[in-house]
Amino acid sequence: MRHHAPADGPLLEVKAARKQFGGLVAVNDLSFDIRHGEILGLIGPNGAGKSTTFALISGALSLTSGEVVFRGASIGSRPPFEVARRGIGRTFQHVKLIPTMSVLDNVALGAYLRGRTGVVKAALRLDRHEEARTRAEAARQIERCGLGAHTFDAAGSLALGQQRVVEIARALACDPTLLLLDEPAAGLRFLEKQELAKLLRTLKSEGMTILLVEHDMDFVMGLTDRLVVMEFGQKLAEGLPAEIQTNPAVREAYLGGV
Amino acid sequence: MRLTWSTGALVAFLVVVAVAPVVAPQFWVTLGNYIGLYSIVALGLVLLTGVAGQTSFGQAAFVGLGAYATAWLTTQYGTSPWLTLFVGLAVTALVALGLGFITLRMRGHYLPLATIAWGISLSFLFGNLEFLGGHTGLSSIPALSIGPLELKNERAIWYLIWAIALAALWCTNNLLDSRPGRAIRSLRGGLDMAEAMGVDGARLKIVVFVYAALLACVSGWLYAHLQRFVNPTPFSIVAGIEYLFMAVVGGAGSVWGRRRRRGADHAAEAGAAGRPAAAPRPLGQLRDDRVRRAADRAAAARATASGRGSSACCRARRRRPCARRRRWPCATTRRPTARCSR
Repeated sequence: MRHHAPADGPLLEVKAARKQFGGLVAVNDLSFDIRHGEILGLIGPNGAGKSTTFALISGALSLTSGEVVFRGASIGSRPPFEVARRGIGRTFQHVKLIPTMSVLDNVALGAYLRGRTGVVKAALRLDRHEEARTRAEAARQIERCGLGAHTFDAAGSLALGQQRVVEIARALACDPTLLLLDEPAAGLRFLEKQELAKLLRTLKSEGMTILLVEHDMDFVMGLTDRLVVMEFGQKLAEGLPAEIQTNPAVREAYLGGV
Repeated sequence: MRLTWSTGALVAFLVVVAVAPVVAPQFWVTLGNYIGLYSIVALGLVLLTGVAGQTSFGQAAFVGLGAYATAWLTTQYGTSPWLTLFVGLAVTALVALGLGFITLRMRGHYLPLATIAWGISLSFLFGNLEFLGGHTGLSSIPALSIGPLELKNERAIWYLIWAIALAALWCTNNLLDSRPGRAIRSLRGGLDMAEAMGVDGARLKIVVFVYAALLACVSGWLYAHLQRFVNPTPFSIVAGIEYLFMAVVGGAGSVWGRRRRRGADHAAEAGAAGRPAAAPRPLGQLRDDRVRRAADRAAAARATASGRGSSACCRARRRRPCARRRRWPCATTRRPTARCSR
C-alpha cells in the first residue's frame, strides 16, 4: 500500500499553468490547489479550458509554462505513465475499457503498476502467485465500487453508468492518492448519477482525494467540498458551492449579463 | 479437469499431431510441416497486429534473418545449428529493436507503409549480398540432429516443428493472460488509456515487436533445416503479405485462429494444384461479388428515382442475348426504351 498519511500543505498545486495552441491560449496562468481528502470540482462553460487543465495535470498534454506540483514533486510535462506512477489515477470522459475483456481483467489492468512480471516470466507462466494477488485486488476494488455481480461479465456488455464505475474501479486498483474524474456524470440517467455520487462520497470518507471536471451543476453542487470556476482559460472564482452559486461573476458567465 | 469441448478438441488435435507423421501420406506430412512453420510466424502477428494493433507486412524478412543466419554459419563455418539458432535470435532482436524504435512511433497508414519498406529492403539485401549467395541462395545446409538422431526427412523434423509451434502457442496464450498481456491488449487504438494505467506504451510496443520477430526467426531457422536450401524468394514482401493474411483471416484477435486459417490456406493451394483437398472460396472474391451486386442494385435504384427508362435497369435487361433488334420495355418503368445496342 502507498503511504497515504497527509503531509503538510496541499496535495496538488497548479501554479500559473499555461497552455497555448499556437496563438490560442487555452489555459491562461491558472493557479489552484487540491487539499488532502477533499472533492474539488472544476467547472465552467463550454470551452473554458477545463479539459485542457485536466490533461495538463494527467500528463496527456505538456505545459507551455508554469508548474504542477504533486506531493512536493513537479509533474508538469511528465508523460502520463510517470504521472500514474506517482499515484494519480484517472478516468476518461469517453469510456475507454477493453469491451471484450471481463470487468475483472479490465480492473486488473489498473493494477499494472503494482506488479512486476515481465514478458518472459509471463510467457513461461511463472507469474501465478502475483497474478492471483492482482486478481484478488481487482475483485476487491470491484466490490468496493458495488459491481461485484458483474465481475466476470464482458465490460462492453455493461450499461454506460456501470462502465463509468468500472473505470473508477480500474483507477482505484493502482492505489492512487488522487483520483481525476473527467465528466463522470456525462450521459448518465438520474438514478445512475445518484449512485455515482454515493460512491464518490464513500471514497471520500475512506480518505480519497478527488478532482472532478464536470458540466452537471446539480451533481457538482451536492457533492463537492470546493469549486474552481473557469472561463476563457482563467480562474473566475473559487470557493464553497454555496458561495459560487451566489457569485455574480459566475452567474453572468453561465446565464449571460442582465 | 472437467472435460469440455475445448479440452476434447485440444486432445484430439494433439493426438493427430503425434500420429500423423507415422500414418499420413507424404503430401500431408509436408503440408503439416509448413502449417507448423507458418503458424509460428502468424502467432507473432496475432500478438502484434491482432492484439496490439500494430500492422506489420515485413514479418517474412525476420523469417529470412533466422534462415540466412543459420544457412550462412552452418555452410561456411560448420557451426552447430543449435548455436546458430541463438545467433539468429540475437541478430533478429537487434534488427527488430532498431526497426521498432524507428517505425513503431508511426500511426495510421504510415506504420504499415514503413513495414513494407523495410520488408522489401531486407529481402533485397538477401539477394544482393555475395556471401549469402545472391539470388541463387545457399544450398547443402546440414540437417538438424539431436544426439545420434538426425532429423533428415520430413517425418523426423515434424515433431520438432510442432513441439516449437505448440510451445509458442502455449507461451503466447500465457502472455495474453498476464500483467504484460493486459497491457498489450490496451495498446490498441491509441496509447491514452494504456499510459494512464502506468504502461510505457512506446516501450511495450517495441517489446511485442521483438517478440513477434523472434518467433519469425525461429520459424526461419526451422525452415532452413527443413529445406536444406535458402534463397530470397520465401522472405520477400509477398510472403510478408501472406503472413499477415494468415493472421487476419484466421482471426487476428485469437491465438487459435491462425492455425485454422493456415490450414485452410494450404488446402486451397493444394486444391488449386488439382490435389485432393477441399478448396474454400477465397474471401476476397466473396466480397467482390457482394460489392458488384450492391453496385447493380444502387444503379437500378438511381434509374428508378430519375424516372428515365434507358438507365441501368434497362441496360441490365439488355444483357440477354437478343437475335433481332427489338425494343425492350424497361423492367421498372414498363416503358419502351431505346433500341437494343446489340
